[in-house]
Amino acid sequence: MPKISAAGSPAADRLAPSVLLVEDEFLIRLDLADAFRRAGWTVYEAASGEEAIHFLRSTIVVGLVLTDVRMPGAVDGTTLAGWVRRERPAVRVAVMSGHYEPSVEELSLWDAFFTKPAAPELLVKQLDELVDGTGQDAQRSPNDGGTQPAA
Amino acid sequence: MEAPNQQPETILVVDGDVITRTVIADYLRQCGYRVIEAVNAWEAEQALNQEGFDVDIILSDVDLPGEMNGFQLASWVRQNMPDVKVILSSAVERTASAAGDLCEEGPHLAKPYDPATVVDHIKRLRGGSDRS
Repeated sequence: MPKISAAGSPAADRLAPSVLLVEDEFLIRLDLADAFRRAGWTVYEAASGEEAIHFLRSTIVVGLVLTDVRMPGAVDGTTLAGWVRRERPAVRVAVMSGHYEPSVEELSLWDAFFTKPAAPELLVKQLDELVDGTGQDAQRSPNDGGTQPAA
Repeated sequence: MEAPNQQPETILVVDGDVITRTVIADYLRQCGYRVIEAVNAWEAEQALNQEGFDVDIILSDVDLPGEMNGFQLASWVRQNMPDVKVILSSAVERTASAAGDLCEEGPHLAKPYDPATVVDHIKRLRGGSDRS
């Protein structure tokens, strides 16, 4: 069966949703990654904002970025979320933090915000519902958005 | 066909390059291994010390970000966990080749594609990552 990459593929052919998980705390990242994989997601892992941007500049297609806020390096989670919104507008963004109080503007830009600690299974379930809301997640080609100006 | 009566072996992939790490880890998962990804030796040590992780094999780059390189990590493992097999690699071609060997040795599935394809894939992705 030929692969159909454009949106509008038959539902039966829907690929697994995919997430780039950006979290510098190793064991938290592993727990979350396991929960996503158990739920059938394709999971990519990055340990910093810089790694995440390096990854997102590749041709690997990902439908959702889930990022922690406080991370070492020059690119924290809010900066990364802003970058994704500008440079990869087709990719959904979810942010999680145990301490950060997002502004109203940030909340309006992000697709979801989670307060940590969050039970991994619960978080995955909510994000499952988010991507299932349109059923389009897996068909997106977020890197195509790289050449488009942010809205 | 008899169901496998053992847990899949666990491979710890340690590589500071997100694209290499991701592609190699995915390749090994397709072979049937359970794969844990670590960015540096500090994360690798956490995985090795974590109860229940039961790492069987470490596939690590020599050049790792942080205070400990791959040789130092291997030395630590040999001293503290002599049962864990360590494979060190210093180039993406070697890493892919080692992953291919692991897939052939593995008790689960055949290797999904040739290691040369893995290298090409990583290089293409890196090429893509250079655009800005």
